[in-house]
Amino acid sequence: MRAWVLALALVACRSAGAGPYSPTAEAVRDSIRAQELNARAADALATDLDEAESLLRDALSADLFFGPAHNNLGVVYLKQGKLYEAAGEFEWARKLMPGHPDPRMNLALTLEQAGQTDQAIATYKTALEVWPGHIATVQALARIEVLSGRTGPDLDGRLAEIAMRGETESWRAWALRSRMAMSN
Amino acid sequence: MGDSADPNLPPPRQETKLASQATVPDGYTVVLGGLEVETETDAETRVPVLGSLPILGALFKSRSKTSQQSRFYVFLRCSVLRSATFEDLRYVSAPAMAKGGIDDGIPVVEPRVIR
Repeated sequence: MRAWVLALALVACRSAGAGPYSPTAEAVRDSIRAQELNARAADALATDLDEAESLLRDALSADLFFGPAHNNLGVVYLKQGKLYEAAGEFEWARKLMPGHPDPRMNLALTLEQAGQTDQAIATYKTALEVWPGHIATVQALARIEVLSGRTGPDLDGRLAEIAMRGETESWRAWALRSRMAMSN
Repeated sequence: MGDSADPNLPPPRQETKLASQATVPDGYTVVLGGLEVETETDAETRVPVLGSLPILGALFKSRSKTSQQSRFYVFLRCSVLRSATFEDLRYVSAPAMAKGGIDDGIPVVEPRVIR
């Protein structure tokens, strides 16, 4: 009788989900399927957030440790205004991809949207530590520094860099305007 | 301001004032007030002469009594502006401007998607 109870308990433990996504065991990781679903979700992100979320959840069920899917699920949550959930996913992605600046930048953007300016600036700076000169982060960092009234030679240097090689014309023009406003 | 009874007259004006002092951390919201306004209206409409008759007069007039109660709160969100040139004033108003679909000339940071 005891053996039966133990066997039943073992089966119950094996079939129970260990977290929000399943399965979680290393042996059942399907990285190729996760990558494929993540790519489809990245396309859907611009048009259908629900579809993107569903695809990303499937991707993480295929491979819980697939960092890009965590990052992109965070982007979905951020666009939905779910800042707490977004920060959680970006933290996952940051731990799984410690050398990639994007999860750090996204986490900083989430903190910025939550009104935590000082923490956001510190997190933008960690993204630049792992990837110096990452222009998207340089832009975001300079933007929050200007808007929160910071000044200094570092910010001036960032604005000069954006004026030279900003991603878009609007970034380059904004950097020029901000430099002029700061020098007055 | 309310609706004017006569187009030649200015509309009636009502002022509600509140004075208070509070120490609030940067970015926090404080709720002031709780002013309570009670309005009671007693009105009678009657047919001339007939409405003034004893006993029978009640058939030719109507009475209405209304009571209105309102509370007035002020929600104040305090933001410290650090820039001497008020550059960060734009940051404070940015969310409201974005809601209203007004372009403030500051580029928007989009989250990064990894493929």
